[in-house]
Amino acid sequence: MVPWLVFGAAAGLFSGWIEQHYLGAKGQDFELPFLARRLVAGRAIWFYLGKLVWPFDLNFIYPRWTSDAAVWWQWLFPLGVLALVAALWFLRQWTRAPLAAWLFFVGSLFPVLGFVNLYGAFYKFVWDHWQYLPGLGLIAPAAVGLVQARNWAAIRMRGAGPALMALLGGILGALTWNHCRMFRDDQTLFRATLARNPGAWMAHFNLGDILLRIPRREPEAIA
Amino acid sequence: MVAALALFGLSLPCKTGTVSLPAALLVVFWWKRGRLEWRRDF
Repeated sequence: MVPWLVFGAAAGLFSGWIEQHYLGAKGQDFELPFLARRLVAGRAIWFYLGKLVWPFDLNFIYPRWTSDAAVWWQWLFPLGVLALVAALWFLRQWTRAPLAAWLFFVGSLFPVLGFVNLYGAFYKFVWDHWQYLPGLGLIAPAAVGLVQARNWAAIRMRGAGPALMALLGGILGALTWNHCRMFRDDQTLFRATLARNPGAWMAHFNLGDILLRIPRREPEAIA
Repeated sequence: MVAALALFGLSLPCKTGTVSLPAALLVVFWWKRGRLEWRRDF
C-alpha cells in the first residue's frame, strides 16, 4: 500500500495546489482560523450523513454557514463526531463493521472537509457531489442491513420483504427522477436553486445573466 | 498488483476524490482482519 499512499498523497497535494494557484482558492475569502475549520468539518460530516439518510430537498447551492469558534453550539458538531467514534470504538469488540464504515465515510470525506482550500467553498462548504465516493462507505453496509431485514421479514410476513424493497426503490427512484429535472438547463437549475435557497447569490447572478440575453426579459433579469 | 496500481493512478486525474482510496482500503483490511500488519498490508 505504500506506493498507493504516496500516489494518493502526491495527487491530493497537486490538486490542492491547482485549486489555489489556478482556480483562485486563496486570499481573504478563503481565510479561516484553524478552529473554525474544525467546526466546518464537524458540521459538514453531519450534513452529508443527513443527506444520505434523508435525501430530500437536495440543492445545487446550499446556504454557506458562518463558522465561529465563540458560538458554543457549533462545537456540538465536531464533538458529536468524536463521541460517535468513541462509541463505535467501544462497540468494535462485538463488531468492527460500524466503525469501519464510519472511518471509510469520514476518511474519504477528509479532503473536502475544509482543511484544504477548495474553490467550491467560495459558494458553500458542502456540495452533494463531494460525497459520491465517501457515501459508499455507509450505503454498502446499509444495503446489507436492508437485505437482512428483508430476509427476516420474509420469514415472518410472506410478501413483506419484496414489498418493502419495491417501496424503497420506488421512493428513491422518484426522488432521483425529480432531482434530475432540476438539471434540464441552466435557467431551470438556477430557478430551482433559488426556490430552495433564495440567498444563493451565484444563482441570482447567473439567472440574471441568462435573462439579460433573452429579448424583453431585461426587467426580470434586473429584478 | 501492478495493474491495480496503474488503474488507481489513472483514476486520480479522473476524480480527485479517489486520493483517499488507499486509506479506505486500509480501513477495509482492518475490518476484515482486525489488525494491520506492516509487511502484509503496507
